[in-house]
Amino acid sequence: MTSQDLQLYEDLCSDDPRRLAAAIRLLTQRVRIIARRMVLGNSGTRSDIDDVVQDTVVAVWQQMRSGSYEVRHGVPLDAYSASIVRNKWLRTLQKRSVTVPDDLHDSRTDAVLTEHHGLSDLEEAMARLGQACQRLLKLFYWEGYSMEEIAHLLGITMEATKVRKYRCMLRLGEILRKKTGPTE
Amino acid sequence: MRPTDQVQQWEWIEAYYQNKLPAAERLVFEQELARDAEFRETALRLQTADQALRILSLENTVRKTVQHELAHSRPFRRWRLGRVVAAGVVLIGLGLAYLTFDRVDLQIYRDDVTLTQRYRASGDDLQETDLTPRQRAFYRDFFDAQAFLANGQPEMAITNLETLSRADSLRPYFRQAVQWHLLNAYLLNNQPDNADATFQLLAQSGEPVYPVNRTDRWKVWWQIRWQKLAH
Repeated sequence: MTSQDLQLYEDLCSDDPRRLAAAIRLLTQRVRIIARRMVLGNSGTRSDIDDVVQDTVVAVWQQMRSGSYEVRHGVPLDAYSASIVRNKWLRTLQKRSVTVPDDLHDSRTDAVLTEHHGLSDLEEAMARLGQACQRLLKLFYWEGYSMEEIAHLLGITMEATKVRKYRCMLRLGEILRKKTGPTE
Repeated sequence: MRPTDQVQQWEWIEAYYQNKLPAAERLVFEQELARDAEFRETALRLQTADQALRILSLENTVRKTVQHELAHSRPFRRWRLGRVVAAGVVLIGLGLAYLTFDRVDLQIYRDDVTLTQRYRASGDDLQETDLTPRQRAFYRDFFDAQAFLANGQPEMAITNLETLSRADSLRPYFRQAVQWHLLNAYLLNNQPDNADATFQLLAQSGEPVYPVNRTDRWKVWWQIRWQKLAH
């Protein structure tokens, strides 16, 4: 891994949305080059590239975020991304019942076959909350609205907004803790 | 001191896991955690939810950024596609303009002129036994018709060629030569219906023996339709 890769890795693991977004833009450009070559060279069309890029970038970020990705000196980040691109494209071809080229098959051995499912668990737990809870929490965490702004948007008092928010969080925490088991 | 109000207590928990409590108050908080199992469970749920929501928020940032980045690269692709389409439209336009406005060039027009000139000259200079009077008349009228066409007098050419086309004893080569010249004259004289009828006659006249270039056949077909549209 080069020093540039290391910097990118640190930025991808950052909690700062701006730093993360800049790193994701860079990663997307690099993955796009890899995906274009891989997809167009193996029975794919230009319209397939975007799907593969999107899935790969999110997967790389998830692997890094979850700690599944190991920083190894001498192994460039692009090689790791390429293995995920190959894996994603291989699955797409298999779903389409397309004969998979041998060279694509061989590469499965070094591909990252285990995917991080933590985020899908979180998404599932989030989906189990009601629409009102999802909306309130997304306004606060996704959109960055303050509690005053959310109270104004919902047309309720600040106190009622806080109560709703904490109750929604308690419900989400309960679902997640039941899923993973208490880990005090 | 642990707040007694429910909302304030939740806020207290939030302040703890966000490291916003002063050291002394953190100590009190941790004592409460150790002492009260229900409080501990509440704190854990809030903390778990907060962590999950922050990760989901980051994932949302990731997905939006990738989509934006990919969408950002599309205008270039659209622009490239646009150039190809524009080039195609220009090419088609040029092709149609060529088919519409370029004169039909009967490839052996010049050969015919030379030939008829030769025959005419032979009629003047050689003994009359070389050509029958009908042949001499045919070549004279045909040559005149070609001259009218070349001089931009299609209506005069039409008169000659229509007379020649009615002759019974013409060999297929000369009949088709006359019909092609007549068709050309009709087009030059803006008579698309007559040109179309002659074109049909040529199509029905069997094997083409009077050679006309494929492009010129397309030109004739298109110019007939174009003139019909324009009329």
